[in-house]
Amino acid sequence: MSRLTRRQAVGAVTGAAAGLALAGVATASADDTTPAKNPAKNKGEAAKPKGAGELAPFDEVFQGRRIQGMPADDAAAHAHGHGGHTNGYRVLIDGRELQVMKHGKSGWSSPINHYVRFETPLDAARTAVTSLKGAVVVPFDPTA
Amino acid sequence: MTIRKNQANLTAAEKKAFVDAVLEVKRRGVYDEFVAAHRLRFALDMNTGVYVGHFGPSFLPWHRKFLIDFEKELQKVNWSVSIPYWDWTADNTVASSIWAPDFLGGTGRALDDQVMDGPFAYSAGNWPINIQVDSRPFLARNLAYRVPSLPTRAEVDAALAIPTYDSAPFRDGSAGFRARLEGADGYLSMHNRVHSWVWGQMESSVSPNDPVFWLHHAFVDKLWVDWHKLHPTSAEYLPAGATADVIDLNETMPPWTSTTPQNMLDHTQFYTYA
Ligand SMILES: [Cu+2]
Repeated sequence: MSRLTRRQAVGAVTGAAAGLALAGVATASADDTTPAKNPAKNKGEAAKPKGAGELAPFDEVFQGRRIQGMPADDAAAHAHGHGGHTNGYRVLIDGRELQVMKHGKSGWSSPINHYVRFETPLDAARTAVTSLKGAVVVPFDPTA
Repeated sequence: MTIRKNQANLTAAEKKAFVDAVLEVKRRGVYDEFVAAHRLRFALDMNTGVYVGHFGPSFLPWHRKFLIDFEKELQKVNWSVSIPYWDWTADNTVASSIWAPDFLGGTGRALDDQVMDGPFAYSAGNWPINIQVDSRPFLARNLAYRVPSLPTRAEVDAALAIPTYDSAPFRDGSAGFRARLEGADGYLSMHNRVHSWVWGQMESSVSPNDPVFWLHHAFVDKLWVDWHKLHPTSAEYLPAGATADVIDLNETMPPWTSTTPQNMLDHTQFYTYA
């Protein structure tokens, strides 16, 4: 168990996230490729075909953003220069990593939507896009 | 003696004193330490599967300590300030006075969810978002977007009626008061639902960037107090001990080096609720 004091912990992690410009504002719906127009309105349970498995890869444009998901193991992730945990799966939004994490039976989460759980990494990616409204993900990995 | 009041009952002067103290803690750089500590706790919990700050029994004492520390910083600026609580079962609309420009400001604009009024609007110059999980440098909200309504008093009463604090496996979906209040036995309910209702940073691991975080968690904390009054013979915290990967009653809660849930049980040594 970590024994960091608050100030030690804070000192170790500040400064990682400065200076990123806004990306272009996403245009909603015109280039959506799925029937789940707005995952937010679906309470995190996007309409999608069942059976492909929650770990199936995906690559689509959702509300103007390219979202990709692929199974990965930690070794492969490190080889690509991404430290830390992948939980066996990587998600990218316009090429930037959205860290998704599996929490047992309760599902997946991401730092952008932290108080909910998603059935699949795809659901987490789509809802993150809806949340960002054109902003880009700032990866944060305290174990990197 | 620190007395936490319902935000709906604050005078204009009390609102201004609270806002001014928050802005000063931000100006000193201390506010962002709290945001960073919350983001770090969340990330470590998620990566390790040991749920200290959220989704486990220590959710309530961890946030109690977090608020006590923050309240101390406010009181270094102005000794008369305390953290107000937001009863979201009563002040439950976008039109509630908590969102007025003389207090926390309102919902964000459609373009990018940027809050445009009040003391925390980006344009006012005092509230840059520095500790981030995305590139937005401004406070963002979209009230009532993700979920149309806040938890009701009936839902709160149903949670308060549960006699057991928490139960095995002491995780998100455990039976008991804590998981019900947290909203971790179904998600998009109770405490978790309020975060999602506000949206913007409140939905993310850097939720303390929105000052409403403190008022929300003060109410959650008050409900723990209310629950104990209703069930004086129930253990105020569980598990008592010997539970792997869970913070037991007398185990230290990181990042603090000597704070246990037991140390947090008597809140009256720190503050009371009006
Ligand atoms: Cu929290």
